[in-house]
Amino acid sequence: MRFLGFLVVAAALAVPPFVLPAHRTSELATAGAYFVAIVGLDVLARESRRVSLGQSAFMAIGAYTTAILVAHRGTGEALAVALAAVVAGCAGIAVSLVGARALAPVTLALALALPGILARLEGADGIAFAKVPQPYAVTWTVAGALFLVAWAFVASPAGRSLRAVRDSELAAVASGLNRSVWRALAVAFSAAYAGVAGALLALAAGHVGPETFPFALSLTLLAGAAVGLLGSIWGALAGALLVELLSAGLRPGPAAFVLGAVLVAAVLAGRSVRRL
Amino acid sequence: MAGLAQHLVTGLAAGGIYALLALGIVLVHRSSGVLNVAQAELATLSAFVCFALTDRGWSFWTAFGATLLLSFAGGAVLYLALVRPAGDAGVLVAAGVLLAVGGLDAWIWGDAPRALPKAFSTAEVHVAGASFERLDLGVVAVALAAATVAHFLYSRTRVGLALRAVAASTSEARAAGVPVRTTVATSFGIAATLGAVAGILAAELQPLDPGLLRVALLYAVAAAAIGAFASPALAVVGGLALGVGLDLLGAYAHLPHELKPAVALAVVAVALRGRRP
Repeated sequence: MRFLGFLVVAAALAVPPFVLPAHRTSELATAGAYFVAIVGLDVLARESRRVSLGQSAFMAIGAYTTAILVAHRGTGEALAVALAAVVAGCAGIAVSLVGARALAPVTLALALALPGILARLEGADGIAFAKVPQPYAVTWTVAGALFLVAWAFVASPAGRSLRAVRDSELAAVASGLNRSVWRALAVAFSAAYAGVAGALLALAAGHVGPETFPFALSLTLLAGAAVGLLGSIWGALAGALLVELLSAGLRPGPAAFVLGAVLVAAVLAGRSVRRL
Repeated sequence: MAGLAQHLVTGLAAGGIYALLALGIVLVHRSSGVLNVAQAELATLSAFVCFALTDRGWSFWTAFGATLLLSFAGGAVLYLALVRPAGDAGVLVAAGVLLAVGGLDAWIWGDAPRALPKAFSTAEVHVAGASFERLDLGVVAVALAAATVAHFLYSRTRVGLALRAVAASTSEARAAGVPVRTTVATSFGIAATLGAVAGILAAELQPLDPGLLRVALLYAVAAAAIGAFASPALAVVGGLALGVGLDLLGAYAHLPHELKPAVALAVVAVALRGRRP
């Protein structure tokens, strides 16, 4: 039944390129990348009950990995995206080991410090390279596949172990689970998804710069994830579309204000729903 | 030596702003367990409020006082209306407020930089061969005065006693008759007031725009992390040390401007290894 729902949504997502003007379609390609990043946040929040403020940083790591591989080394796009996931995932493991219990401040610091580091390493102008020809199709195909992977991951024994560590560390450790390893795995999963999201955005734009992934992006993605957490895992789709439509439809100031209000409202609504 | 003294003063001026923000983060974290990531953005909003009041013809110091009162009320209302109902998701609410307030500043006042009236003259003071801007000295003095008032409030008054009781144990404080909700709301109010001082001082040193304290949030979190978000004294010392240290690293070790946040990232990583947030 759930898989049927997936097929219906996938079919609906195949329609826009045929009916919408090109610039609308490319906006929706951006929403696909946001969707991937939000699914990562979603899994971390649901299965590990933790908040990452550094999704923008992991996206930047993925985007720069892809850009360096494609522009400087001539790697194929598919391999570059896969390596972006690996590099961002490894960054996630490092962050989780440093901030084992304090994920929020460490990810916040990373997201605020990384643009300067990237500007130093690769220059303030960033890296330009050839765009992929069909960003919408590429982004949503990858997004659909990663959505299924996330489903499988959550349902797998690994997902059960994550929930065991989340629900009772003592019981989980007593049954032989290493909590640092499982916590790091959850952050790595979330970071790898962000890495792919950044890679997809980079390939769609043909350019990455130090300010392409500002700290505020972490917060808008949190707003999308908070909307998603109200419903089923499908909510991530609604969250991604909401973030993209508000960012594209409003000027930056009002868009940030509305998304911040959405984040607060979704968290408070989620609390009152759970209390019922 | 004269150059060193000048760098110490400019570093202390920046560090005083980080210290006040960090102190607010620590007070709130001790009383409520919430990492208030909106601290710096609320401070920027306070600076804009002060700007709006002076723009309507208020004198600087009247506007300053009114902004502190408004900020105290705003911080307390923020806790009662949004943070408290969110329970253990307080950091998410703070993140939402950070985003919303930044957007609101840009919406109302735009991205063009504004200028607050100068609280102190920009004339230079000459002491033993070194010349200091009176403004820098004034900022250091106001920041230290605010931290001292906060210390007095925290250690010598009944309000401070209640704050310390709630920080030690919420349930035991409640059992002993401390009004926990009011006390935590007070801590948010004090934090917002300290933030308002920091925001206005920062707007004295730099042009006021919505991004005024965006990176200062990182330095404040780093300073607060030095004391594991629990020590007000270490937060103040850490903030001042970061301000001076970054200024000296830039001047004498040629640390590029864009890598200063990376130093703060390293401080956070070292300070928080394996700690509870």
